Amino acid sequence: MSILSILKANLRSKKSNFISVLFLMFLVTLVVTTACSVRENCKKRAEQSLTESGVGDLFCGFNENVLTEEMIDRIEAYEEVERVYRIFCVMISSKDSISIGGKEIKDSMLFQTYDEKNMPYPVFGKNNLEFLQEPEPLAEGEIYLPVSFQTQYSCKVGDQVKVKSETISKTFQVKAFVEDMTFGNPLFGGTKNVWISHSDYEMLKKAYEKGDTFLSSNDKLMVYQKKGSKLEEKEFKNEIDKRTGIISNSTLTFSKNDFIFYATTITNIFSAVILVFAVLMFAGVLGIVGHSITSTIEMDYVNLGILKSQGYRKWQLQAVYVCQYLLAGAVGGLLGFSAAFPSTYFMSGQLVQITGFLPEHKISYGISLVVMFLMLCFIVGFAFIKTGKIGKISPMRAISGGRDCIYFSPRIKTTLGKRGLAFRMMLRQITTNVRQYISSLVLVAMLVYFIMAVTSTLSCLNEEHMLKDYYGIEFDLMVTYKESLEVKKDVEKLIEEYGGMERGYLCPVVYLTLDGDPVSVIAPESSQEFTNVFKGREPRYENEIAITEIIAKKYDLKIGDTVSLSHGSENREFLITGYFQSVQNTGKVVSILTSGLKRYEFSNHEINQYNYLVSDKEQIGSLVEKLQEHFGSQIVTSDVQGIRERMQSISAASMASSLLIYGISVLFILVVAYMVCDKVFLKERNDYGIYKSQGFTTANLRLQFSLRFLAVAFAGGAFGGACNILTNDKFMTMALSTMGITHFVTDYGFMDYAVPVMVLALVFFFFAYLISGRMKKVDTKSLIVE
Amino acid sequence: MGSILLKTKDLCKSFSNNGEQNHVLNEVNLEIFQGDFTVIMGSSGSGKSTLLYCISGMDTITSGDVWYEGRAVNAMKEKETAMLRRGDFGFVFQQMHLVSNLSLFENVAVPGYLNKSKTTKETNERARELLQQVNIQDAMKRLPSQVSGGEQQRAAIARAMINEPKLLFADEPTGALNQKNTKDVMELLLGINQNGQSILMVTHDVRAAIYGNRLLYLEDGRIMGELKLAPFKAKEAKSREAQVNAWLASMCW
Repeated sequence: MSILSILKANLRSKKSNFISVLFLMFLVTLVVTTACSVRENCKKRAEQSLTESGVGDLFCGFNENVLTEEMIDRIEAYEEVERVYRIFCVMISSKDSISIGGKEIKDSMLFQTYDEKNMPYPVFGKNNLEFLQEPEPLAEGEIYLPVSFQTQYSCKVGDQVKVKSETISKTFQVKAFVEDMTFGNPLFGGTKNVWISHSDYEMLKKAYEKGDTFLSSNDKLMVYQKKGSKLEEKEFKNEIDKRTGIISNSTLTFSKNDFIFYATTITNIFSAVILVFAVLMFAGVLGIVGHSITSTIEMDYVNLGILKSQGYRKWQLQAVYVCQYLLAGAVGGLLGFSAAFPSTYFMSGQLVQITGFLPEHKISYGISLVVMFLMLCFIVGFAFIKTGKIGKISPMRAISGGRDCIYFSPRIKTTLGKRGLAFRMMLRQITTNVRQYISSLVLVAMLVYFIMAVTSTLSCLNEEHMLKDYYGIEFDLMVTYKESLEVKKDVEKLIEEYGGMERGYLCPVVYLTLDGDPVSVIAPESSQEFTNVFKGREPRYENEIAITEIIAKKYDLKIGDTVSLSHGSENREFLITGYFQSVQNTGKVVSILTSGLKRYEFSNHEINQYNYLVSDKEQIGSLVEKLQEHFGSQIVTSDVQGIRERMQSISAASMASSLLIYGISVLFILVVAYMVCDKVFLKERNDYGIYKSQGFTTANLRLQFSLRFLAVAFAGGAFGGACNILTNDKFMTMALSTMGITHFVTDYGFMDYAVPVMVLALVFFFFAYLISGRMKKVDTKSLIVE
Repeated sequence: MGSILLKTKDLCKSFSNNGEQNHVLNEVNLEIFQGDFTVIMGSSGSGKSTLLYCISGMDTITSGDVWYEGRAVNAMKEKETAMLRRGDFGFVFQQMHLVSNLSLFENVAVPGYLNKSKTTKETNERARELLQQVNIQDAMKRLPSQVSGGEQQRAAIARAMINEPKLLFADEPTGALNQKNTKDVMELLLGINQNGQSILMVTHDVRAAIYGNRLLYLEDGRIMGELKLAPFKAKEAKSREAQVNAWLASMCW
């Protein structure tokens, strides 16, 4: 009861303390709970969606006429397989004239019927915030598109999708958008599933069968592992491939976990960055609690002495402080937890177009409550340690006003003088009580570090940088010669004429199998085309290979090792000569020379892919159209724009998290600035009375007070910036490695450094100046002892 | 008697407490003369400190006027009062009120830096002289918390003198000191006064009051009496104390 009375009195008299800690904890809990929940929800939804959509444990894609009935029989005969499900698709390549709302589609499209019984992909209702329970069957002329198209092609329900080929010209109307966990992810470029009515599918199929060269047949096969099978995913893949050759013959093979990995990569990366930010924010909260306790004890020195003289024991007084901060933390935590409900709901809605799927809106109670509990434990422990100094308060000394001086003899001697007196006084204030400003300095440093880190992702993860530094090869235009190279000269002549061809080189991109897993293989004709080898050297001979660090880590490989890659039944060995990085296939990519690729049996269509660089980049779009007009089905063209558009989802995600971190940082610094300035002001209130009695004006003292915080914020900003410059590459590499970036190089501009430092320093200065407005009310009367 | 340095006319100061007016100062009329060591005495709660702060411009007044060299102190704006404190008025407080993170030397010198007529070097020299004068030159680099109360008060007096004020206000300067330090501080103030410094001091300590040459008695917010004395001489201290005690007795002290 005795503790409760003091606690109540303290809460009444130190409302600003209570509210500030409460607000900071509110922010931290809100961020942690939202990030944890979104991360968890995405993973759950990815798993759930794959199950709901009927996606098999193994997914294989095949070029036309590769998948035979006999092969399917062999798969079905394998005792670990429960069943298989074949999906027939008609593929129309990107530049074969598909447009949505007048905008050309850069991806190839796999047209298929919507099979609500076997493959019921979830269909979004209005606003993308829910799924339709029973979507109406597609009528003739209606089409379902993956939801990521809304961002990529700015389309909406009701828009028209125009499809033109040699023999058909058909207009579809967008009926709804679909959550496709297999190819719907914007990161997953190249091919997209779209769904049409049965009659429309038959029409396309007939056109293909009649020899429309714009169309090709493409089969997908879902393989379902038997329930109760004891084989691990990898074992299952290897065994089934050994028995049936299914993986080696497919163009693409993915397990459910692969799809989940691709689907959740972006949210995992950015939620991890935000969680690290939240941890640092919490460290900031502890710093602020520590600062608050220290200054409150200094200010309450006499009261504490009186309470001790009245019989209060050290632990009872400690308990008052601990309860005070625990209460603030708990209330803030609970409010943050509650606010995480709408915030998670909002984030889920926002994520749809970035990730291509709709995560649940649920709060991850378990992990969030555990994190909140741990944070409160930290606050209690920290407050208990910081209040230990209450034991040193002597009632006699406190009551007689003889408390220890709160200032230290400055080690850094700054002389005072007439010139720049306010500045010199400000320096003296800092140097005589450095500890008082450490929490603010560290906090500003942390925030600047993080803001710079996210800014660096914004400037480095834009489409241009991604292509130049993180793709692996450089190109503006990609042309695949379908049958032969007869038209190559004419194609290049046209490129030269309309775009100013700088150079062209052979560079097929295919899939090979490494230890049972499909890996993307980039195979330029010359070793000069490798732009991203950062360790070792690029492959120079047909038996050499460069790998990504992700591949090296996954398969325990290093430079000098030999690695075996398979294509069907063909196995070839390569010597690893270096590491490079590429965001293609989220880093699961290797690079060899074309001559190395020719050690396998590939069709001309697969090998004859040429990359071109043009001098007039603005002409790329029209150049593709012209190539299509002139050469029709003889070539397949795609340009860098498609990849650029896919990269937009990463840019959008990094932009969103940057804004979030910026916003939270500013809010955080507002509260901290208020709290620290308020405490320092109250502590020094008497000094201002003295200064006033000696002839200092309010304006002079306010400037002195505010300059101090400006200097502290600048110092913190400079420190945080320096730390960022030293460690950002490593930090970002750690954060982005799952995306394929294992060698992040920050491209700093002066503004990247200056803006966060200036913003936070000015916020601090502004708040200090605002709070020092109370100085007007500080009267020399306070010095009067009647 | 020197010329009038400061005077008040019908000075009133009252506080409102739950709608009830509490008159701390009631139509106070007094004059402070150049070169005097004026002492205001009175019982606890008589309003003597309030009077000191009202006439020095540190506190606002309810009505009446305070005139200093023809200027109404009570009508001055914040900047003007700040200027007054920089050049014309010096203050010594009961609780010393030194800035705790400045050394004694810096506490003395800092108000001097505000004075535009002197350079930093001149101010520093003046501060050293004053610290020597108040006999704490050896402690000048120490922080206030590292010296005794007497040394702190000496530093406070030196600080008040840095800008060579025309009038030095001292509010119970010996209130927080022991007997020895009281004597030292009062002798110091006396020495300053003998050098021509006008002083207005508030005290309730007779042993401190005897150093003044003009004593005013304040009771219930009014000046109830005045005692003029000859300049202080150490050998007459006891008889002077008796004289002051007798006068105080007549004032119902």
